[in-house]
Amino acid sequence: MSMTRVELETFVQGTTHYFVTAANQAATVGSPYLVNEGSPALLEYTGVITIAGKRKGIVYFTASRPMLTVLLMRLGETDMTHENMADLVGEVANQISGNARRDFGREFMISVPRVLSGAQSESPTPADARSFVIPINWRSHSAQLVVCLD
Amino acid sequence: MRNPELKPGSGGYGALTALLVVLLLCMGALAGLNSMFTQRAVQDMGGAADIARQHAQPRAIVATTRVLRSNLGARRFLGRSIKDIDAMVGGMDAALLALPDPATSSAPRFNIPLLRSPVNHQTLQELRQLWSEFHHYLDPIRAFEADPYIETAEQGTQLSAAGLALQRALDEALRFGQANQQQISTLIGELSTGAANTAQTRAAMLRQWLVIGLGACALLLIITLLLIWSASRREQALARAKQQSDDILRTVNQGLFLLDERLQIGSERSEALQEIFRRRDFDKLDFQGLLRGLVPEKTLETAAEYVTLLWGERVNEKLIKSINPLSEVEVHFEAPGGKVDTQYLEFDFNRVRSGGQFSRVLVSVNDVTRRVELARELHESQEKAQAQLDLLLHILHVDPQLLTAFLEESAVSLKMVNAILKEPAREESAFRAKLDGIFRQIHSVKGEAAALGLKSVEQHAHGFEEALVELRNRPTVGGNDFLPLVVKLDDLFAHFSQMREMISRLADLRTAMSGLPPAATDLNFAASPEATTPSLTAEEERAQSQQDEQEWIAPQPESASEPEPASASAPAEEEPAQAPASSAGDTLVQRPPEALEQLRQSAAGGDIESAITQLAQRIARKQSKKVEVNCSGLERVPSRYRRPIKDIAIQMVRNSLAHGIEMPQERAQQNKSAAGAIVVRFENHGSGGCEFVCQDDGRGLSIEQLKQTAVARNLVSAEQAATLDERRALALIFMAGFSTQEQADEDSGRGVGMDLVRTTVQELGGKIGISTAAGKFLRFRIWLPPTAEAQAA
Amino acid sequence: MTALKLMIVDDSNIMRRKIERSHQCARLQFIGAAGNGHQAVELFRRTAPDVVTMDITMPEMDGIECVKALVALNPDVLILIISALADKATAIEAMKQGANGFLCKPFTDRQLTEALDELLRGATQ
Repeated sequence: MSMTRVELETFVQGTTHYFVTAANQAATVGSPYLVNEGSPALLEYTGVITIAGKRKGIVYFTASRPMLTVLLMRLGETDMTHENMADLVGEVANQISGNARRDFGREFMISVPRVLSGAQSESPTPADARSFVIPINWRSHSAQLVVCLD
Repeated sequence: MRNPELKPGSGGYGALTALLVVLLLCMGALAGLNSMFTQRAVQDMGGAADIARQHAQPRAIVATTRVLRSNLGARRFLGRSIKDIDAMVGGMDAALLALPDPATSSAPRFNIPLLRSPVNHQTLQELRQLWSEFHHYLDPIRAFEADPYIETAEQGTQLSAAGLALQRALDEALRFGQANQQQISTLIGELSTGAANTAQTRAAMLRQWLVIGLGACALLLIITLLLIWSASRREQALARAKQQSDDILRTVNQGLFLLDERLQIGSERSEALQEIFRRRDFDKLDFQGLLRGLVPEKTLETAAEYVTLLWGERVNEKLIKSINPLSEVEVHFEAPGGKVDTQYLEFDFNRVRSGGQFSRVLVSVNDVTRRVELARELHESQEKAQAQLDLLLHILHVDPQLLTAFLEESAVSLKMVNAILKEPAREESAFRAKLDGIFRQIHSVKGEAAALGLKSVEQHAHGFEEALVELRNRPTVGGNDFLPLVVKLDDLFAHFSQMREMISRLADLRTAMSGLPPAATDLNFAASPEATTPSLTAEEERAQSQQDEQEWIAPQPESASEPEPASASAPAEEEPAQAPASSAGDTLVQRPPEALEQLRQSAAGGDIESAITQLAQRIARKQSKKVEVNCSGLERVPSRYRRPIKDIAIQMVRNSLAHGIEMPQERAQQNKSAAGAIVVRFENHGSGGCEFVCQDDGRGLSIEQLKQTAVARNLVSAEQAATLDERRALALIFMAGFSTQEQADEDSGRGVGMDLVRTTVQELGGKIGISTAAGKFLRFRIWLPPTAEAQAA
Repeated sequence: MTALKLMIVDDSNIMRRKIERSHQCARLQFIGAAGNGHQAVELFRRTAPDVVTMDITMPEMDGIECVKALVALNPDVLILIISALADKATAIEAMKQGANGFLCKPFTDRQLTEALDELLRGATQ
C-alpha cells in the first residue's frame, strides 16, 4: 500500500509545526522526492522511530550537527554535547511521528526513538523499500524527514 | 449559553400569598375592632349621659320634700308629692344603684372600665354613701301610706300620730337634704364629667388604634401591590428570557442540548438538532443512542469516555479540549434508497456548574460538512489506477518493441522528474524552473502514451500535467506545493511497475500456452561483437584508461554553495512526440515468441542493448543526425545493476546526441564519418567490481566553456572557476542545475540528467570518471562495486 | 500564595530542561525530574510534588501507568500530560487514570505557561 498525499501531508505538517512551535522559527519544505533504490543519505544525527501496528515501517529525521546546534540554542539549551544532540534528534523524530497519530490513529504505534550518529551509519530503511524524502530548510540548514511505510 | 430558570419560583409567590393572608387577617381584625370600639364608645357616652341626667334630682327631691312639708302644715293632700319623691328616689336608685359595685361586679348597665378609674371610683363611693344616707331619711316618707290627719271637733283637722311622724321625717329629710343636696349634685356632676372624660379618652384611644390599624393595612396593601408588581415584572422578564431562549433554540444553526450524568439528553434543545441528526425523537434518548450507527462503535466508545471525563472533578475542562474525539467527526446517515450520506459534525462540550457541582454538560453541534468538503476540494481527488483489465487490454494492442522502448524511456523520464524534484531549491524562481522541467518530461511521457494508445498512462500523465499547470498559474510556488506532484509521481512509478509485472505475467502465460520452454535468461547470451569499436584503437584505449584512473571523480553530495539553476527557458510546446505507427492487428497474442521474450526482458529490467539502440536512432532521426551504436557486454550486467545501468546508458545516449554528436555536415567538415559513433560497454570483473563505459566521438567538452557555464549558472564564482583544475572542472557537469545546452528539450533535459547519473552511481556506491578531448570524444567510465554474488564467488 | 512543587517526567533530557526553563508560572518551584515511570514514582515518594508534567512514550514504565501510580499515592496531585501522541484515545486513557489535562508536543513557551496556569486555576476552583 503506497502512501497517499494526505498521509504524506501529515508528516510535512508535523515537521513544519515542530519548527514553528518548538523553535519559534518556521521551516520551509523543499519538494519531496522518492528514493527507489538504496537508501537516502544520512546526516550526522538521525532519530529513528519504528512504526508498528496498522502501518509498518520507519520514520526518521536526519540532521547535521550545525543545525542541531542552532536548534538547541533556540530551545534555550547551552550544553552542546553529543548526548544532547542525540537526545534532540530523537525527540524531533518522536514528536513528528507522535503527531502523525492524530491522523493515523492509535493503531499507528510508535517506538521510543533510536538514534544513529555519524553519516556512515547503516541505513535504517530496508533495501528494497521506496522512501519519501521531505527536505527541510531551516535557517541556512537542511535536514530531511524520511518516511518509509509498508 | 446560560440556562435560565424558566419555571416561576415558589419562593416569590409564597411570600406574596402569605402577605395577602396577613393583610386579610389584619383587615378582619380591624373591622372587628372597629365595630367593638364603636359599640363601646356609644355605651360609654350613654352611661355618662345617664349619670348627668341625675344631676338635678337631689335638688328636686329637696324641693318636693319642702312642698310636702308645707302641704302637711296646711293639711293639704300629700299623695302626689310622696309619689313624686318616690319616683325621683327610684330614678336615682336606678341610676346610682345600677352602677355596679366594683366588688360584686354584677351585670353592668354601664361599662365597668369606665368607673374603674380611681377618681371615678372614689366619687362613686362617696356619692353612694351620701345618697344612701339621704335615701335612709327619705325612706319613711316614701313608705308613708297612713292618713296624716285626724278630724277633731275642737281643733278641726289635726295631725295624727302618723302625721306627726311624717312631719318629723320630713323635717329630718329636709335638714339633711338642704345640708347635702349641693354635695350630692356636685358628686354626680363630677362623676358624669369623669365618665364623659373617660369615655372621651377611650374614644380617642380607639380612634388611634383604628388609625394605626388602617395604616398597617394600607402599608400591607402597598407592600402587597409592590410585590405583585415586581412579581409580574419578573414574570415578564422570565417570559421574555424564555421567549429569547426559545427563539435562540429555534433559530440557532447550532445543535444544542444538555446531557446529564447518565448521558441522557435533556428537554431543552435547539431545533437545528433535528436537522443535523435527521430525527425528531430526542426524548429519553442518551448520547450513545444519538450517535449509534452514525459513527464507528470505537469512536462512540471513545466519545462517551471523553464526555464521562467531564464529570470527574480531577480533569480540567480546558486542558482536554484538544483531545475531544468529536471535534470533527465523520457521520454516516442512511439516505433513501439504501444510500449512505456522509456528513461532518463538530461537537463541543462544556460543563454546566450549578450548586458547586458539575450538573450537566452543554453539547453544541455544528455541521461542518461544507468546511471539510472545501478542504477536500483543495486536496484534489486521487486518481486511482485504472482497472487492471483495462490496462491489460491496452497492453495487448501495443507493439511489444514500442512498448518496451516506451517503458524504458518513461522510466528515465520519471527518474528525471524525481531528480528535478530533488534539486535543492529555496527560491521562487528555482521552484518555477522545476515546474518547467517536470512539465517537459511528463509531457513527453504523455505524448508517447497517447501515441501508443496507453490510455491509463496517458490519463495519469495528464493529471500530472494539470497539476503542474495549476501550480504554474499560482502567484507563488513553494516546496509544499510539490506535495501532490511527488504523490502523483509515486502513482506513475507504481503504475509502470504494475505494467511491467503484467507484461511479465502475460509473457509467461503466452509461453506456457504455446508450449515453448521459457527463453534463456540474460546470463548465457552469446557475446555481441566487441572488437569493432570505432574511432579508438586498443592502444589509445589503454592509455586513456590509465589516465582515467587518476580522474575518478567520486560523486559528492552537493557542495557548500547552493546552486540556483537558471530559470529555464523555452515554454513547453504542445508537440506530441512522434510515435512510430504500429500496424493494426499486430497484437501481442499473435506475436512470435521473440517478441514475447523481448517483453519479458523489458519487464525484468529489459534488453538494454536494443533499448538504447532504438532510442539513439529515434532521437537521431528527430534531430536529423546519424548515429551508430556499438554495445558490448550488456547482457552480462548483473540483475541488480540492470535497471540503473540502463537508466544511465539512456541518459548518456541522450546527452551524446543532444550535446556531443554533430550534424552530418559539421562532421564532414571535420573529416569525421557522417554517422556519429557511440560505444556502450559493460565489463564484469567479478570481485573487482564492474566497469561501464559510454563514449561518443562528438564535440567533447571544452574546459573553458564548462567553467563559463558554471559561472553563468552561479554554480561557482569566477574566482573559484579560475582555480579549478581540469578534473574539477569536468566534475562541474555533475552539479545539479548544470546544462550546457542553451535550450532545454525533452531529449537532453536541463542539467539534471548528469545529476541523475551521479545520484544513481552514488546510491550504488560507485565512482564516475570523465575523459575528453575537445572536438574529438567524450568518455564516461563508471565503476560499480562487486555484487553480492560476485563477492560470494 | 504558597509555592507548589513541580516534578517533570520525560525521557528526553532536552525536553525536561525545556519545560523547566520555559514555563512562567511563578507559583511553581521545580524540585526534580525523572526519565521514566519508575524513576518518577520513586522521586514522587521522596519529594511529594504538587504538580507533575508527564510524557507518555517512555522506556520501562510509560506515562499512563505512571499517572495511575502517582494518583494512588496522592489523589490531589495535579498532572499535566505533555506528549506528542496526538491520538485522542490514548490521551483520554491518561485522563481516565487521573491526569488533569493534556498538552501536545511541540508547544510554545506560552502554550506551556497557559496550560500550567489553567491546571493550577482549575485546582483552586
